[in-house]
Formats: sequence, structure tokens, C-alpha cells
Amino acid sequence: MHEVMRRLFFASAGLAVAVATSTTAHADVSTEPPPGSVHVVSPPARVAPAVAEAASSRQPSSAAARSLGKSYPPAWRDDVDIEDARRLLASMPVGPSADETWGIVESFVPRGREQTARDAFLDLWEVAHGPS
Amino acid sequence: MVRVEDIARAALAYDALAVRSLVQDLLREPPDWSRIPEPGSTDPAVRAVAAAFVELLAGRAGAIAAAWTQGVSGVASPIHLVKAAATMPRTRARIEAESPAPFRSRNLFAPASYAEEV
Repeated sequence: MHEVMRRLFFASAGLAVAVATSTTAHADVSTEPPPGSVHVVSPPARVAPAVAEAASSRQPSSAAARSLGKSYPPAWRDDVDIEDARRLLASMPVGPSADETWGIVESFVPRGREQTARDAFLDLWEVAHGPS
Repeated sequence: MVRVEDIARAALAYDALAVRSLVQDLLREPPDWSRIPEPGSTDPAVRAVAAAFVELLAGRAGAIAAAWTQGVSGVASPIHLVKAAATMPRTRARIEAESPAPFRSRNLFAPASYAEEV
């Protein structure tokens, strides 16, 4: 069951990074925290790339779009990967339409995979928002 | 040792995380694919998925699958091993087109990279 443990680790590590980036404190200045402040723990080195990238960026929408773009087929192996992509899409501030949101994601899709990536994106969009 | 039958049951239950874990456990000490035991189950779907897994994983390892797999036919109605295929029509079509041969030949459909390790 080490896959389960690995994913739990990644999830908790991602959460730690998300906490770190959602506060104004930084690990490198937390050696002497002011009274009452939250001590922020530096993220472990081994974090799922997509989670870490999305969570650690100061521009979360851009990082989520980049991670989402990179996650598209043929990288999807199963429902776990598809669920990861769905969460990335949910973490992005969406535009008023599928086309506008796709415009943000498209630039991060590897060349040659645009059509399959757009199909996959539209599937994800329609599950979340209804027909585009 | 992981039984390929257990992987098949997890796949049919759409438990993708369990499939990943079981496949990783199985590949940690790669079996002799030509001698991997035949499932005890008489459920045609379990037998078909199990045979497909053995052929897929043996093929990726460059090995010959156990002979019993050749005698396991497909299921009567198509089975998609990715639950999202039910709600994502474009993804479903892609999976149907790209499903690995050991699955597709048995009326089973999974992504081309199904059960691949990262």
C-alpha cells in the first residue's frame, strides 16, 4: 500500500506548502517567531511536482494552469490522475467561459498535444460547469 | 505475493489507487510472467481483466505471458476501467481508441498508460 502512503505524503506536503504560501511568514525568517505567530515549516524536498508548483507559486492561477496544461493526456493513467487534474482546474479562478479559461491553460500544454488537451479540458469543464 | 486476480477486482471496482498499489507491489519483485497463476475466479470479467493485466505487464517487461491468458476471452459488453469515462465523452473516445491491445481485444478499455508507474 505504499502508493497510498506516497499520496498521503504528497497531500500533506502540498498542504504544508499551501499553508506556507498563504501566510505572510516565511520559513527563513521563522527562527524567532513573534509571540502568537504560526511557525511555518519548510516544505520537504520531495513533493509531487504539480502540487508543489501550484501551491508554492505566488501566482496560483498561473501555476495551476501550468500544472494543468502539463497534466493532460497522454499523461492520464487512471481516475487518480483525472481527479488531480479536476482539482487543479477547480483551484484556478475560471473565466466566464470555457474558451477564456482554456486560453490561460493552452499556453502551458506541450506542443503537439493541444487537441487532445483541449478535449480533455472541455470534459473537465463540462463536468464542473455543464456544457460549454 | 499479490494475486493478479486482486488487481482485476480492484480495477473492476474503479479503485485506481488500489490498482496502483497492487501493481507496484507485484512489480517490486517481478514474477515469472510465464508461470503466473491463473485466477481461481469463474467470473468472466475478473478472468478477462486478470488475463489482460498479465499480458500488458509481461509485454512491458519484454516477457512472455502465461499461456492460460490466451484462452481467456473477452466480456460480452464493453467495460471501461476508468470511471470518468462515463461522464467525459471525449476522454472516453480517446480511451476506446488507445486502449492497450490486451484490454481492447477483450472488450475492456483503459488508457494507453494504464498501470504505468511514474
